[in-house]
Amino acid sequence: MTVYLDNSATSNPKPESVYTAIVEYMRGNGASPGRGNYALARDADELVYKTRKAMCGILGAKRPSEIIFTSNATEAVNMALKGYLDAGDRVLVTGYEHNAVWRPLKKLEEERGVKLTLLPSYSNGTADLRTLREMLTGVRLAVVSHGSNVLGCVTPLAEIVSAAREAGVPVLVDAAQTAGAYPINLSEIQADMLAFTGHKGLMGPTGTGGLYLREGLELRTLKEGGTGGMSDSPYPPKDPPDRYEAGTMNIAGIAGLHAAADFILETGVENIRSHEIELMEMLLDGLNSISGVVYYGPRKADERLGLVSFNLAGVSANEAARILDEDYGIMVRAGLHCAPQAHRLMGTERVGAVRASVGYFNSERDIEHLIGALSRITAEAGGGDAS
Amino acid sequence: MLLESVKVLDVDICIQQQDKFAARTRASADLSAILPYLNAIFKSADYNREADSLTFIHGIIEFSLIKDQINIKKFANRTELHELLDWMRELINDIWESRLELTPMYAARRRLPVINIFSLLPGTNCGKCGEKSCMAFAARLNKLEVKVDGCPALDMTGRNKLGIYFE
Repeated sequence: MTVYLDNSATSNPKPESVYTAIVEYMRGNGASPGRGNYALARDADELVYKTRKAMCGILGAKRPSEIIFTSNATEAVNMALKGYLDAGDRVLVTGYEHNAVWRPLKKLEEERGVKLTLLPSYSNGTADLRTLREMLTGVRLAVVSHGSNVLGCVTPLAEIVSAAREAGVPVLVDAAQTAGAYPINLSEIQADMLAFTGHKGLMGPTGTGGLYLREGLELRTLKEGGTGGMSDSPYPPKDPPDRYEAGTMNIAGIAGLHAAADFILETGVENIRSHEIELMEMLLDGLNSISGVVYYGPRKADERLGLVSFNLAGVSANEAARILDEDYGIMVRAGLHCAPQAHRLMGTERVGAVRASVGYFNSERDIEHLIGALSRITAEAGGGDAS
Repeated sequence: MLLESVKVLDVDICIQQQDKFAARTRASADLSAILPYLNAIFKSADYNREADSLTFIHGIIEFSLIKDQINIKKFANRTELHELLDWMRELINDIWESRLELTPMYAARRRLPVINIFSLLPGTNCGKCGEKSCMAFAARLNKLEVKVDGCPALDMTGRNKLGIYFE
């Protein structure tokens, strides 16, 4: 028996319709969208448009032209930060960023003198919002991780966006861990930009993702090149999404993302979320029952994403992950999870942690298998205190 | 539902405005029956009952409808084209569903002559509208290339009178 519990890295497996859509596009169409005036190219155009529209459905965005496709959330975050921030700007940022956000910000700090202010957070990931309004003073952009890929905590987005809007500060949301798996409604929570990846909660293929860019907000371009129209101009077009999508896009990936987005819309994000909460309740109960296990982040399943990071007494994170894989066929991720900021909050920046993350296709049996394996590993290691 | 889908036939550079695109599309149904209702809604509409054709302007976008064809001019890119087609499909189907409560308009709208528009403008040639003279603004308004509120110096009387003819 093999059990995949690394869905926070990439969801696996995908809905069957995703595999079918990719093959159908590649065999049945294969043309480049926006690059030709023949039927197949126009059909490819329509496929891309329908995918933008499906993403609007999932995110609550108004217009398909607000959805810019990128190769992943990292590219989307880079596009937003480097296209928006000027020299000397101050940025307010949540305290458990993934390197997809943290590294571009540090680069901008070095190159443009951008100033970073961290929103204080407790060790379980809960953001301390008591001084939020004061902290927004003089800030040009607030960057908010919607959910931590290590702590599993969910940021109170509505409260932060509301305060930022009152202060006239635009908000960029990193939704890499939440889009598709946790409800997002941009018509209610009016963030200005939101980066998503296609291959995690959205259940699409790798190499897909995008940036929601509120209508009227213009960024400098991250890349320039062919967009399929107005080729006589030496400059990128002014209007989104073409302005930001230079180069032939990953249309096979988009075909898969379209099928994935349709699957999510048919299934319902709320139902996906409920399933993951049930699995997490079982997983947290199991972890609580094992002596020698410490886990991090919120204690209640419904206050966290479908993931949990933990450590075992007497067994390093890497060793635990290796044993789980080799002896039990369980795939989890060990280390710092590209998020040293979160590990600093947890106090695990030197030792890392093991992360188990569930997806829509995991079952209770998978969780039982993991808990059984962890019980045996800790018993063999002699139990004790993992903290 | 009158209009199930619209198929894009071709997309090219717009001849009138070369930084924009134009497209020919084919609707899944003959749209002749809906044209008098669109004529009643859009003040910019130019309806020809004999030819079963109608053109109107929405924002800067020009629509021409004849039988099962919808031609669209001055859109920014293919994504906007599809957004406009979605909008058009929803509009047509909404009108079709409630047509019994609506009053169709079969008569062609009278386009207000340039000289009549000019007579309602301030006549100061202030240039705040971006044109060199009030006459130039009147000529562009007649062609629906600008909107009434493009003239910031227009008084309430002029605004109300021109509002009858223009959106």
